[in-house]
Amino acid sequence: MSRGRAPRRGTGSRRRARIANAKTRWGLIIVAVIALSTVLAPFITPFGPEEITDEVLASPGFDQFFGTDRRAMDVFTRTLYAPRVDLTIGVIATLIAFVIGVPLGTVAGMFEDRGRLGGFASQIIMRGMDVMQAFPVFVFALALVAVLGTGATNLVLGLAFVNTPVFVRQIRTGVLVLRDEAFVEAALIAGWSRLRIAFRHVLPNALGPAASLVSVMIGFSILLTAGLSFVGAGVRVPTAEWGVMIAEGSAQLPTGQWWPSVFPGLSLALTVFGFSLLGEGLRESPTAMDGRRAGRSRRWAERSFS
Amino acid sequence: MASATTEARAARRGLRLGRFGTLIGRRFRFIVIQLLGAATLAFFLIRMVPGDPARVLAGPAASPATLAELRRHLGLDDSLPVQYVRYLGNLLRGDLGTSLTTGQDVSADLWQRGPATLELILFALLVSMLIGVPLGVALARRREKRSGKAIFGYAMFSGSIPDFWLALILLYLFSFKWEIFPPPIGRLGFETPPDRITGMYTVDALVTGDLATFWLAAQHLALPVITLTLVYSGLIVKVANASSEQAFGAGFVDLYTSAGVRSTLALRRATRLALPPVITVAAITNGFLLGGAVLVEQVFAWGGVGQYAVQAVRGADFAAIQGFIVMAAFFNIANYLIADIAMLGVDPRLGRTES
Repeated sequence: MSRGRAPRRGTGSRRRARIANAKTRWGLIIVAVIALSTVLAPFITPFGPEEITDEVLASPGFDQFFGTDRRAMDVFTRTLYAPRVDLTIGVIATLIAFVIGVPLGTVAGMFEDRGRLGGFASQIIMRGMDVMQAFPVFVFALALVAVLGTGATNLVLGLAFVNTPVFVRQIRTGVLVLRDEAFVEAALIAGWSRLRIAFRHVLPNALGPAASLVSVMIGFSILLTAGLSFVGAGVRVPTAEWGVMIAEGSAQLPTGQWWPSVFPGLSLALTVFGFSLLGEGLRESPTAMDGRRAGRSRRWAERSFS
Repeated sequence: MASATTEARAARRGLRLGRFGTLIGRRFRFIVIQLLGAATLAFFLIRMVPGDPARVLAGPAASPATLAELRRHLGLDDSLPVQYVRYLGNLLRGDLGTSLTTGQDVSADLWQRGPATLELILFALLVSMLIGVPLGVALARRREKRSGKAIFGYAMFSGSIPDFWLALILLYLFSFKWEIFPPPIGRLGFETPPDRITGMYTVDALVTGDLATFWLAAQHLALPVITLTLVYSGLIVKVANASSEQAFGAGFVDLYTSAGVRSTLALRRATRLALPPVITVAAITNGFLLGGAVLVEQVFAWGGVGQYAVQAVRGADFAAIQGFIVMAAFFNIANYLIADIAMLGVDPRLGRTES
């Protein structure tokens, strides 16, 4: 990527690759630890996520690492179980957005200013995205959940809707860059339709950056999920979910019991950080996301037209 | 000779101003479409509410006669296109309907609470820029040093912090525990606000020369603004860093230095080159801040439009929700327009290359 440019002070490509790999590694470690600990939660903690233990608002100690909340539920246990809700919602919402956004972005990019019908479709898609992105993300998500009703399913739908334009734009940009490459022209000359070229050859090459975006957006969706639940527009109260836990615990802050709010927030921040590190690492890595795929299409072009 | 040069320069400037004008004109056309789209989306969004809106509004105990009356009052008997056109007409006149929870016009509610949120957002943006941009530029020079790494690490981490959680933590430490800042009971505690000029207490207090009120308002502003700054300045640091690194590495700085040009000139040119991405990120941050304000206002009982929106969502107050999101979209669009205009002033290429 930067090999052609003159090396600048302290920003060599090797150094950048090293940083990118460190990010990817640490992001993966954090995400893996969180995911594993929530899957293995029943083996780690003796309590259930909504189980009432002996003491109300017990301070953190050896038996109950993070103390208990005002319902005498174990904060450590609930913090461990919370990703089962947050992570699931974040992952599913992002994947839905990805699955909807990618084809839309491919069409929008491939057909922009190309042909009457295709150009029109591209215009419609992009203006639609403009309108959706006119709303601040959290505000939009809040309104969607207000309209659809609270609960995990509606949260997923709302977040998927809000995230879709991000993927559409990312893919469109990638496709726009690639569509004038020689292998596209070659395929056009060979009589392939634009649509087929778009999905068979252009899209795979543009997918790398979007895939790294998936990780970032999962983290972002988790943050939104917790935020919506915090104001009572997401998951309902006794559920073990970070936003709900923080909101529940906030009532005890004036009287000095900080643990029911602090620990869920810390793990929430750590999880989001893990996903954004992973995403950034993958995006900046010179080898992980592109190269092989691009090679395949170029080789295909060479084979077919030499 | 001299006059010919000035003439040429004047002609060039006129040309640039003309293109500048068409660029703004085209931008406005785009904005009208975007505003209409946002208003339309908000309209259909609220129509997606499952069930009968009249039933939702009147509650389960309402009699059929009340329901019919309400339906007629809301215009729900008309066809959807008629409702839509009426909605757009009302919107143009600034009529956003009546709020269920406050019983007032939504536009009056928003007008009353808007300045509180605006004050919060603008201060947060100002502080974020004042801290974020110099940090980002300084970072470009000291990437390998420990302080540079610390700043960089924070910039990466900050976006992952839940703003509402950080607000609670700061509140716990600085208000409940150490009692440095006032408790979270709005913008002035129990004091009477200054006469409304802008509605932003700090500004109004300064204008009327009421320093005591200004100081009180600033104290109440401190924690929410610090919260938002800590969370949202990371992005600004990152962008300022990347763009200044690029600007200083652009080659002309080295050329200037080796040619013996004053270093301040090189710095000025490089700064100008580095500005456009920073302006863009300021606009993006402003949009995020509005979302963040919704949550942070909740924590501090701020009484702005954010808290109003949450109240509306909890009370299924759909007129208020619709009014709020339309306002939020308009705010966001205005935001990007201002950024674009600022960009035209900074980047001379924008005025020329577009035709």
